[in-house]
Amino acid sequence: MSIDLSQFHQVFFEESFEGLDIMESNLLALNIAEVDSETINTIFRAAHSIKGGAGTFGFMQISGFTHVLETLLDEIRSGERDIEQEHIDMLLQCVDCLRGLMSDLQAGNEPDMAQADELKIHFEKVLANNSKNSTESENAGEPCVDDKSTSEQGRAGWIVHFIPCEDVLCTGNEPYRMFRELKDLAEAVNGSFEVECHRQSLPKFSEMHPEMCYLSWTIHIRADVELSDIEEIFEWVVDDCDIRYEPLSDSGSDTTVEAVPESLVPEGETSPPLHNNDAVNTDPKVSAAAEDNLKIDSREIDSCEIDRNEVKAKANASVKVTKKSTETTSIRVSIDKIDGLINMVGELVITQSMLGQLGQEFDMSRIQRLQEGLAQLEQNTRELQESVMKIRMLPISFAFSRFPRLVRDLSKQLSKEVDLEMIGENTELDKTVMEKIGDPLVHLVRNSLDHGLECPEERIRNGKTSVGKITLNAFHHGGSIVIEVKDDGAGLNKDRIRDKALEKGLITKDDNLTDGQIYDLIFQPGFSTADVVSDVSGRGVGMDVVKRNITELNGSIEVSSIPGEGSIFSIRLPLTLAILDGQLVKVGNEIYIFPLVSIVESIQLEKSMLNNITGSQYVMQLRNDYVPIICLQDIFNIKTARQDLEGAMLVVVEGDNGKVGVVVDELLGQQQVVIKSLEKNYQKVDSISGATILGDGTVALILDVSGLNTRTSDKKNDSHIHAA
Amino acid sequence: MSEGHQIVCSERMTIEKVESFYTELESALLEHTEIELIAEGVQQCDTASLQLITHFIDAAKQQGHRVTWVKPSESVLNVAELLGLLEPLELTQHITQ
Amino acid sequence: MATILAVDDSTSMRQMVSFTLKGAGYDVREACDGSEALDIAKTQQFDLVLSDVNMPVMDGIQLVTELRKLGEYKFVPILMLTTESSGDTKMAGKKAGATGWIVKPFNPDQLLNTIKKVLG
Repeated sequence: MSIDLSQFHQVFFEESFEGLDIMESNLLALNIAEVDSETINTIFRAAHSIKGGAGTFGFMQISGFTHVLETLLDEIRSGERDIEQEHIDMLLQCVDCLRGLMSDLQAGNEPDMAQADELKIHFEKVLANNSKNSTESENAGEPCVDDKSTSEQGRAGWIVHFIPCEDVLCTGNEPYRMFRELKDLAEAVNGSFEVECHRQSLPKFSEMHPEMCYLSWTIHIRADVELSDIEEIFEWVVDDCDIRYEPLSDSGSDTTVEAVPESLVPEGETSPPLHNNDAVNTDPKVSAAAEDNLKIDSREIDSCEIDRNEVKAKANASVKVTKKSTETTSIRVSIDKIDGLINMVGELVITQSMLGQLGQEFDMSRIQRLQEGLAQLEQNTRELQESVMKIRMLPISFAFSRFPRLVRDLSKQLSKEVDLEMIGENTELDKTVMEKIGDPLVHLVRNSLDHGLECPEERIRNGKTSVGKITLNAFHHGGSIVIEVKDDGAGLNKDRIRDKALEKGLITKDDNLTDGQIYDLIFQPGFSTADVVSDVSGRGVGMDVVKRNITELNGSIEVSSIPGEGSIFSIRLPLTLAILDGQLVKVGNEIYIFPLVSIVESIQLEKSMLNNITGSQYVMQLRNDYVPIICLQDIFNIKTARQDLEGAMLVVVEGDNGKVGVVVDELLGQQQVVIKSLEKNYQKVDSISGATILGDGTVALILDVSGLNTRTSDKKNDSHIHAA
Repeated sequence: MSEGHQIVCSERMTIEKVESFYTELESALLEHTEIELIAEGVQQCDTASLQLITHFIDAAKQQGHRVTWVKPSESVLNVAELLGLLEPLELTQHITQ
Repeated sequence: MATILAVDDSTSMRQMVSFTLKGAGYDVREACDGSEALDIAKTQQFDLVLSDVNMPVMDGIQLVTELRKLGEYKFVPILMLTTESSGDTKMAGKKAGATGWIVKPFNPDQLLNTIKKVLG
């Protein structure tokens, strides 16, 4: 029977990544002064599982590498070695290294072992040192092979003396099963097998304990078999039982004699040197066979894992696909959630059959039942929708988990003392949103550490404790999740931001900005207040990228700050990307949808607000701002009755490059819409982010606000709007 | 047909039940001089049970009692052979070559 | 067919073991740590228990000790799945009453051969 092990690879990778996360967080939690044995155990267990799984599923690079760190951990665990800071640092490096190796393997690439090999050498050095009993080295990879002389002997066969311990039967080790294996072994090479049972140890019948084994045996195997194969059969009992092997000689006349110490051994058999078996049995075939399974592929996953092909990767067609195509992402879902779903589908089916029956023999007298049925259907659908959404929800701890490490490393690098607090780690968030919010969060945390928090001396000068504090806080608010990155540092420097913005030409001297507006400037492209571009946060990626990433998720970011007390960056995100709160608008006979979060306000245009720039290009004065105006009817070539801008309905939306006013015919209602991908069903269309199906079955397009905005931005640059 | 006391060996004549089997054999030894082991239905047997029976047969012989097998099953014969117990168990004549 | 209880905290290992055994016709139930295994073992009699050693909550050695205390599991074969190359874990397992062990890494065929050895 051969089983394709690759079907378990995906699960293996996932649990290994989880294991690495566990290792990392526990390593960070380790206090060298006071080592908690359960923490060490947890770390050991994770490393151990990865090693075992890697070996079983054929990733020998991983298991070989993991072996050294497991050995170190085992020594620490058993108290043979005291843990040092150096060990923790090395182990953390291993975690990173293993993550890289695993990602490579998961993507179907041959991993680069350079770093791993280097670390391994480092580990071996440490292991060779000062271990309290360093002589006891393990031999996991290379099992000890019996000395060659044994293969010379034993051509004619073997005599096995087997004197079991009394309780051998109680542990489920059955002598007759072992003997049957011996027999099979002998008969496989046309040999013979004889067994002689010795009963002299049996006590009086009335005094026997029938569960104990009083019998012993001498077995003659007349066949050319390897001693190691025989030893393997007795592998489980060799330590408790007395087992001796002696080769049968060809001539039949035995040569040298070596007395067997136990008197139980039968009638003075003469024997050449006995092979007493105390050696560690490590089967060379095991590892070799596992190596055969070095195939990297994974498609099928157990039914508990819900698969989702990366939609975008597919839509972008053949260009980038190559290796990505094997990559499926999956999500672990608790059985409870799935049971809940199945339950709800069951109810849906009941409602459907009830309605179906009603439909077959419908008359007006049953209208009330129909209405009840429909109400029930609505409820079922809503519950089902909620449950399906819940499947995609993961606790934000998945995104937060990397921060203890990050903060530790960074604070070391920057010589700052930082205390990281994480609140609301169980707050749930859509998996896709979670994946996309990771990088912006990292940037914000780095930024707070680098620019927000002062160095310890300065903090003390300012009457603060030397240890700065960064707080990550997540909570649900309405239909959104809010994530705050808070520091108790110096706060944003208003004057410097203003100066910088002036210098960069982002604002003019006359602009009268509120504090909030000034703070918002840091999200402008090309803005950076750090005097020196530091290693940590000044990597050319600015707050503008953070903001853009968040806006792409239909979210928003705000900053508030009190000089001397710190800053709070607060990100607001929708709970899911699959459903959007939309504002429906009408243009001609078409309905379009704006994401509600992008709308600043909706107003009726008055002539006094309008300024004509060039030709058909208009801008509108909105308080201190000039906002370009675009007409959807022009962009999408829609015929509408309206010709004049005056009195038209205007929706002011804010995208990447600022605000834009969009002229529409009519504002309709607001509702939640389910987003359908255009790329997947048709092709990408500029200024449209997706589509949805409305209650009456018509398709409505969802507007891509940033896309609309770039349409105007070229013109905007030409026309020097800021000249005002 | 012999008139001995009949002991029916159970289908699973294994270590789990060897204590109670021992008690049964022990009392049989006290009360009967002719004992028959009905082993037709034995599907599974093991070292513990055969060790017990072989010792039982020895003890019975010492007391001048007689123990005979009635239709020992394949399973009994196979395991007895593997353990080298065919002769001590007096099963050799039951082997159909 | 024989019933087997497979205990491992690693999902991939558990799935692999269970898939292999089911494919060979055994009736398999899974548990992800010792204490879950013990609860299951109390409600259903198994012909063989196959357990990982390193597990959270209750490890494999403790599981063997606890199982051997139960009358129903006094003689049932229990095999440990161990990666330990050193003899310590094997000995601890044997001392607790385990029948034997299977050294990880192993492939499905090796697993089935070993199972046959105790259930055969």
